[in-house]
Amino acid sequence: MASAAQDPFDLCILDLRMPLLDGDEVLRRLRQSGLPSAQIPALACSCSVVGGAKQADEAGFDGFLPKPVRKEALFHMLNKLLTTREDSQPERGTEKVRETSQPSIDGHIIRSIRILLAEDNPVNQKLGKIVLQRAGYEVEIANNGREAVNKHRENQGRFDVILMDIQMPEMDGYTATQEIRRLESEQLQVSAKKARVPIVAMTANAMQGDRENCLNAGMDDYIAKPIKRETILEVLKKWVSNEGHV
Amino acid sequence: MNFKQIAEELGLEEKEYFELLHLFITTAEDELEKIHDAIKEDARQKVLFEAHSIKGAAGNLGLLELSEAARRFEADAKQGNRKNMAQSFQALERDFETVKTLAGD
Repeated sequence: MASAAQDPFDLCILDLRMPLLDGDEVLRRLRQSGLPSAQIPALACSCSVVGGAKQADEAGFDGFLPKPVRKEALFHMLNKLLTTREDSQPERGTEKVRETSQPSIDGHIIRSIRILLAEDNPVNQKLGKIVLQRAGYEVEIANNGREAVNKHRENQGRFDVILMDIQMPEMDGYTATQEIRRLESEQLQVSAKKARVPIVAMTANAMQGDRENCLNAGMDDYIAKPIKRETILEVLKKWVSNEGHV
Repeated sequence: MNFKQIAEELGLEEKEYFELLHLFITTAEDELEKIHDAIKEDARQKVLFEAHSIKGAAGNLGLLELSEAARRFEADAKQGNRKNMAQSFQALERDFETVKTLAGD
């Protein structure tokens, strides 16, 4: 239907897993069709966060969002994809132009920025989630330091930033950071690929020397509680764009 | 305490703020209970842990007086003077009750 239309669609959103024909196969056929709509921006959605982004990238999608898709993240993404398309209109069709102004797994596909929020207090968890998701970020919660280390490992270090509370049960933020840095240096020896996730400490201690303790543990930045929305968004911007993706 | 204004300052909708506030009240009630027991057991680390948690969450929700009361209690608990601790714990509980009443819980 999309390909037969006289007035082609501006964008397509495809679920990667669909009955009969998967999203990546639909896109392959569309791209090869030679129709006016063959090169429209394509956004993939999938329940699989890590595998999905890779699959979508290989299939030639321009953007990726994991499910459940948040309204804010979707608007943000559509905006990106559609403005990219206008900017690169003359080049489309000859060479695939992809948006790279967002941090990405491998510098190709757009996806939202993923934040691991390590925080044990349910109020701070929920508040953090609201504020960050509203700003278009994807948020995963770890209830303590041990969970943060495990999630970091399970996701193969693919969080863009970790927000780390200092005082947590089971394992505190200092220890969790040291553990993550240790895992990263092990990984470095295996793959020779440099991967260092920015870790930003959050603490309600207004103590002198706190900042130094955080930096010594391997953290990159420090926010004092009570945490202001503007402060946290500013700090995130700083660490995400510092990663060389812009 | 003007919750509406606090919500606005935090960039939250009123409904969202009240959900967080009720969650805070449930959580802090539990934490105060733990502090109460920990004081009796003389388990100072536990006292400090819970006081710190209330201080952080209250501050993030813009409940500054309560957060300050928790900070004062935390400082007294660190020093270990039982009389000061008892006093500032009472003040903390009082401030918590005020928030609870104003929140309609």
